[in-house]
Amino acid sequence: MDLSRVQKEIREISQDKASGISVRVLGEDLTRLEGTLKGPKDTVYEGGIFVVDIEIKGVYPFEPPKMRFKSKIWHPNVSSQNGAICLDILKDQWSPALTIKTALLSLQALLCSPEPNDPQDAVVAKQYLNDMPLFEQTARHWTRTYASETASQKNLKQLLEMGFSEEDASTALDNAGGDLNTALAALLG
Amino acid sequence: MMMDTTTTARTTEAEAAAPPRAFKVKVKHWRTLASWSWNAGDDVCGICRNPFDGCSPEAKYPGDDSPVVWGTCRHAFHLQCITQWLSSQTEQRCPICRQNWEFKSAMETDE
Repeated sequence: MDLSRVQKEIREISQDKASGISVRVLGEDLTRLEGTLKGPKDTVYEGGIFVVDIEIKGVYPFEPPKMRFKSKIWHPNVSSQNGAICLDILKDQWSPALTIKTALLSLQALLCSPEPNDPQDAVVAKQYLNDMPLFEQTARHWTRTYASETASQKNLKQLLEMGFSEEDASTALDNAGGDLNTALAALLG
Repeated sequence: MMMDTTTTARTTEAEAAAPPRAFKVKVKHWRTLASWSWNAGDDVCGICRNPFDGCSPEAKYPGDDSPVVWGTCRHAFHLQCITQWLSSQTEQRCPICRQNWEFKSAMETDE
């Protein structure tokens, strides 16, 4: 992997406070990152902070970074089950001139303009096309429940009050896409 | 102490004896030094993001070891970087503008 390029990219993202995206390194090497992006204004995702799991493979930048939403999100091009993303530049339209930052910005743009005719989640896409009010209601509800900073802080606090360690609690919440009950079930094993 | 006094005296004598005259220098040999850089518009390669005057991650030294090449679309990359990209693709396109990639010949580049 081109380590110096990835390091440079991370530095550039951390210096840019204006774009509403951030990235942090998970673990020892630079193969696993976690990005966040703000839900765009005037959309059903406004107010949400969406966490994206980023995997940088050895062939980067000649192959795209693997990205997946960790926060649950109701969007035609994102799986409501596992956060898989359908976006051309993360697949066959990738170019080594693109970066982690431009990919995260593209995800932000995808939240502004869903493509229901090229869906990742057929159920969500069908609802988007046939029942817009219900789609908007669901998407807003998911944003508030799973992607708002206050919601995740509240959930974490609740788990800490139950006596779980901060590390265990936040890992369980991460794995559960922010859902309190799923996280709790996992913690209770 | 004696030595010091003598030396000082001699110097003074010599200065007094030699009247000021034009300073002449004869150049016996010289060395030249030149610097060069790639005239590639952007200063970093769009693939590895290293400066053109530096080298691609594959190369050890800048310059001949890590040449810069142009496409007919006028976008420039390190030779190693663009070659690695093109060999991984079925369609040969410029990473920046996505036009068909063709190497611009050295003569054309010389603007």
